[in-house]
Amino acid sequence: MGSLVDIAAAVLSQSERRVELAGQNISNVATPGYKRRVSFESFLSPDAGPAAANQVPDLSPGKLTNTGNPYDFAIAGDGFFAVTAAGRTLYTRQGQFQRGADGRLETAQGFAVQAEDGGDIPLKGGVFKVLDDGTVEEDGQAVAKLALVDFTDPKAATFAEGGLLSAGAGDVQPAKAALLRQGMLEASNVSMGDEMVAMMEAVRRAEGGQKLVGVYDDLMGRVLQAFGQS
Amino acid sequence: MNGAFYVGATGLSAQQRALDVIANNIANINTPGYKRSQARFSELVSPLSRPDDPQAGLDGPAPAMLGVALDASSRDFSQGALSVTGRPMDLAISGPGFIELAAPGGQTVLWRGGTLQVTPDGFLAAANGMPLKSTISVPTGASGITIGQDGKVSAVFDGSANARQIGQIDVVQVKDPGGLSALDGGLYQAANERDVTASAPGEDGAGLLKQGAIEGSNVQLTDEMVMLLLMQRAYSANAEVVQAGDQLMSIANELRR
Repeated sequence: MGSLVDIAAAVLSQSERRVELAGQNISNVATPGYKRRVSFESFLSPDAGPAAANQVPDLSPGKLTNTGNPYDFAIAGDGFFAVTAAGRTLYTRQGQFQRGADGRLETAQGFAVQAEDGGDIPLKGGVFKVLDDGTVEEDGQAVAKLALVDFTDPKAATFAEGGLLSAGAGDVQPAKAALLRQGMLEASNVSMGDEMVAMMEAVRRAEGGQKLVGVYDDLMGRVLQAFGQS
Repeated sequence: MNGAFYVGATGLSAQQRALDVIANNIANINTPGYKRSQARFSELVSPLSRPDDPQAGLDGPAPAMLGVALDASSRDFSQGALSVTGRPMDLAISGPGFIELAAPGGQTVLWRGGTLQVTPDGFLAAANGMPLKSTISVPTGASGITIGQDGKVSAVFDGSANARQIGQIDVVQVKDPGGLSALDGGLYQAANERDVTASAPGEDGAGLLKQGAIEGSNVQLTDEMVMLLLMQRAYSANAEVVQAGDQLMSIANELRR
């Protein structure tokens, strides 16, 4: 009988986590390059680990929008920018860059964008143009080449800190078919309809869990009453 | 407690501030020289507890989801459309750069041009009363001030048929316009004096001066309207998330009847 409560508790907590996941996706619908989080939790597994471990990124591309800002970049095709965060190399499609205080090219959050042969990209402040293979030109002179990489095993990619992706157990290789577009941004790939349906489903499942607990409570009440009388 | 609540709340707050940015752009669509701002979003995730350990992200717990954050909005300094007014005291810059003004406190502020005036002391100043940094004194008796494309300021003195040069207006450029802070009244200030380089209009990529014209705002109404619709929908979707979180909490509360 006790396992009934465990199952009900698991259903309730999983519903909460599913709604939290939908909430994270929905709140980032306007974040450029955001890849939505997909949960692969099994429906009834009381000992499923924390929800975060069951999230994988959906790497399908978002639509490209034109912004006209020379520091905005979108990748057309499969590929990621490489950035360093806390000593590790992580990856992102969010191409909103800026010149940092010391002149290096960094993301809007301050992570340094990496060049193809490693290292940061220092900019002196001339006319900034990037060709579609990643070559960075300042005042017409080629200064560096942006690292455009792809995951060897896309299924092993996981979420890391700062909204960046890590290759996880897999590795990265130079992206073969990626084209860089300056002045454009990739929109998020969040589908509002999917998230809303998932939220509704999770809330209904939670109501089901509530009913389970109600049934358990009822039965236990009757058991106690029956045995208490004798 | 309930994660969905807080994640939804960050979404609501971020979308609302983005709506403020769009509303400000649309409100200033007719402000001469106005440069539009753009809201920038980034996903909020808690940092790893052991950032120096390369294995930390692979085996340990993944960072917790915290919603979305709005980074400081960036200004778009692209050129606004020039409209010819024919008034000799109107000055616009066609191309990149700013005109330096001397603010009352002694510091230098940057100006994209607008209407000029001659102060009672006889100096050429902006309409807000701040004189131009490249001090141009207009002697009494001068009339018909002409400003050439290259910045040369000349005036006609009574009795003389030809104009005489009374000064030169320089155009300054900033290496990274994103580092400028916006002040009240369409003025900007550079964080560091060293970032500002002066040159004559037309040299080193600086813009040309155009007398008798005013630069409009660079707000594109269609773009702002599209973003407005998107932000509105995103805002109501985030409200749904908060409501769903609320429903779950009420379900949990009603477990014990």
